[in-house]
Amino acid sequence: MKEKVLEVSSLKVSYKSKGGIATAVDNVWFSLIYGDVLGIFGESGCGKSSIARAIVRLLAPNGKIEDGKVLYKNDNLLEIPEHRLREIRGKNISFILQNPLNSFDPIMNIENHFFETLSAHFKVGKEQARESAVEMLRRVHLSAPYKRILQYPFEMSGGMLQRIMIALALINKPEIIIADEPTTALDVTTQSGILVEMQRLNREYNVSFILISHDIVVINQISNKILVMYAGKCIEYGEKSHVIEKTLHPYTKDLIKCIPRIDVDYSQSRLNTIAGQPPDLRDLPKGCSYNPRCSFAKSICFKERPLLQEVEKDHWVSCFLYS
Amino acid sequence: MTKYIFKRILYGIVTIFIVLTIAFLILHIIPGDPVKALTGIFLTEEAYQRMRETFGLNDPLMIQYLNYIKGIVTGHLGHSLRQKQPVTILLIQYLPNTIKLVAFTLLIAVVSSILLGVASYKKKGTFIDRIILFFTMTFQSLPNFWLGVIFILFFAVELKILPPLGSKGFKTIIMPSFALALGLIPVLVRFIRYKIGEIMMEEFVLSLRSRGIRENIIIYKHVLKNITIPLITIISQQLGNLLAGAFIIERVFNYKGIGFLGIMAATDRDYPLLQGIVVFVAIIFISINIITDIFYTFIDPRVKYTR
Amino acid sequence: MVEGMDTSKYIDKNFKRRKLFGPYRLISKGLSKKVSVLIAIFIIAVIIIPILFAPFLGIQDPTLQGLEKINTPPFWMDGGSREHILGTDFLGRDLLSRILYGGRNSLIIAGGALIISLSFGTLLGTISGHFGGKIDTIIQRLIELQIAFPFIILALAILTVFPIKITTLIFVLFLSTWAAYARTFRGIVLVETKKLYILGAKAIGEPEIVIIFKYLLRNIIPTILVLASVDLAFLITMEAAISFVGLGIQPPAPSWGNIIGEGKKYIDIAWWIPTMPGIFLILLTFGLNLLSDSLEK
Repeated sequence: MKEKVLEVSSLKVSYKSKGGIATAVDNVWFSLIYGDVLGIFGESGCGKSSIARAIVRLLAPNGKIEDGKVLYKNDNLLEIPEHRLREIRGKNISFILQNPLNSFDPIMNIENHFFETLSAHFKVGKEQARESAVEMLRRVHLSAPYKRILQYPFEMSGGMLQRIMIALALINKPEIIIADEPTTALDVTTQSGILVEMQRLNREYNVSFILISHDIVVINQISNKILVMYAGKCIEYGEKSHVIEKTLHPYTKDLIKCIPRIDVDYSQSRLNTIAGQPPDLRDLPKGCSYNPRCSFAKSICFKERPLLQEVEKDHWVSCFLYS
Repeated sequence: MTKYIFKRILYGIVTIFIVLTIAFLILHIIPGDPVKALTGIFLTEEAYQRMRETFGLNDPLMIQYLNYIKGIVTGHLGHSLRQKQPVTILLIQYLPNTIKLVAFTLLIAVVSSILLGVASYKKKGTFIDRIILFFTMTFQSLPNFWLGVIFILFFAVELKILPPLGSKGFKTIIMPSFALALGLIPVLVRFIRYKIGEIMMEEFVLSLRSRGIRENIIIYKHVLKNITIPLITIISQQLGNLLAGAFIIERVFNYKGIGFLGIMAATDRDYPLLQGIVVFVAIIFISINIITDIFYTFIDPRVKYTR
Repeated sequence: MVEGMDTSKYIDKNFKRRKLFGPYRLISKGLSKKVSVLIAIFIIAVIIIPILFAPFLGIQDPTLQGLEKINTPPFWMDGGSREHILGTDFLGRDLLSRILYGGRNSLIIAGGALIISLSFGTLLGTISGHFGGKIDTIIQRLIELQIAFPFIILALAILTVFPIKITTLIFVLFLSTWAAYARTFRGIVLVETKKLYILGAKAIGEPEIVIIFKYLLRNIIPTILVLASVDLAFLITMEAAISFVGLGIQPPAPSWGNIIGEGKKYIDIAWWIPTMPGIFLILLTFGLNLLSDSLEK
């Protein structure tokens, strides 16, 4: 289906803090077709998590959605009443959070987590819920599901819990799963397993994903679309192959250069880094936010902000090199 | 870990011993003669000596002390001078009432604190929140015995719907419990409100919300369940105050519990009875402290599942 | 020479627990410090000045009985008169004068206990903090014991055994409160004396503990006021409770506690007897807590 399931436009999110007001998301837009895996990539603090939270209106208390539209099918999620949004959360759009160890009620067993998630949206009996849970746990390749559902979260490892989180996110058969740094808290092997799982679910059940990560390797592994964030703004967006192979924005290029390569002998050379730090969102530089660290910065970059432009089909960038 | 439990119990036993010894010493450096104080001077020399013997007052202090300790361990706490009954029997008679009182007080306090605490959290910062805080704290600043008197004035004398005194029947427990509870509720309400706020910030609450679980269910089911243990901890910390309050309140309402017995013993200068009560209360109190301490160490590592 | 130190952070938690953010905090938060302090002092003065000057005010003898006018109500009710503004008690004695004289007795006892507690606790805390080691451990254990234990039991024991005199009562009250001072000052000494070792070089000839004492005295008055106000409120209430159950000031000498205690029997025909002293007590407690809170800012 080439139908759009989610369309985000002009999204603007800010946070109030002691040091001032931070614009975490500044005029970001993107769309999701059924079956897409959109990888939102950026360094810590660039606003990518805020996008995810804003979509379902679950921002922290000091955060505010200043502007934007989030069209899910025909509803603007930013405007529909709370009870309708609650129906959508957990049923049509699900979340997977970063730290699986903290995402469960510590004094409730797994079975009850499932029962609760199911009964929030459907009428189910306990038996039915149990069977669905076991079925789902099998699908995410969690061993000994009947044993697991009776256990408590503290009895299991991060990898297992993350699989359970995925199962919980899937149990109501959502169309979109938003995964916010799903592998950051896990070791590399488990990480790989989880990503493979997500890929499989995407292909077999046509679930769309929004995958948020600061690890370009993770993004590269399973996304088909990439959105690169810097200092709250989208600086590059497009099909994965375009963004990775025909990289446009200096920041993205620098980032890809930083990925350790297996064929390089690092005893002779050094790992690449990008000099400098991402700016404080409360105090952004004038002009293009990347100008302090950009090797291609021209005088206009310090005066005006570049807009997103479609440089080739399905490949957008905001940089004065291309306009 | 078992080492800690062991140390704690040992520490507790030592504390109990110290308290018992202090109690013994206080009651045995009495200026004056307990027998004479009670029976007056109209006693034959023979009878007087006999009484002294019965109460073991002629033995050297050390022997009396050892008998005292022996008595405590075996449950013989002496004989009340005024009531003419063994102290242990009296304790057994009066204790149930106090237990009922404390239990009912805790029930009232916990239920209302939860309701008020949740309401206060939900309406954080608004007028209702401030009113709740204001009123609960006002009641706490009032002297509880006076509050009890006002209750009697209002409910017994003016409205005539509750009995002013006594300990028979359910109605007699209502006013004393409320008077006691009003001292406990503000502490609990503030604590609950704070803890709810804390827990709502935790990540699993975000996770629950993201699955579409209703806010009310989150508060009443998840957050409150997670509060239970800290709540128990704070209640056991307050038990000492509660007990002290019960002593006075029982007197206000002539409610025949241990507190009433204790005050009566003090006013009558009934040394054995008072000693028995002091010993009993001290042991109970210190034991509760130890049990709570140990309980807490058990619960904490289990609930926190980070390895 | 020596900068002032902010001693408020050492105020022992137990004082805070006693005060417990009452309605006075809501008030003091809403007003500026100066205004709160003034209001507090005003309230306290309204209560305390008549109490202190009672003998000179020409009010009636609190022990003068008048059997023809027992249990007359306050002046604003039927049957009351301006002669007895708050009415009379069950022996025909003027209630207001009993309350004023009672306040005097309560204040003497509570105040005495406060001063002794303060001195002893401060001294003990300073010793504990300064010398450390075994002495510190022992003193700390004692402090913990006192704070944790429901004090009423010990109070009962002492008041049963010893004859009930002013000194006994002061002693009992002192026992209930010295520990918080000790702990607070121990904390202060432990941290602040470290700073003083630098200055120690300048103080030639004086023994260390004397330096510490002088320095503390100069800087500690505000903290003491904060603690003492709350403590006084606490002690007055405790004294009232003890007198209420008959183990404190003995009738016919009045005390807020025993007026309430004795008057309770007459609550159905003379409700003002047990009620009025309580109101005085509440007002004084409120004023003292407000004062403490305002000073703390």
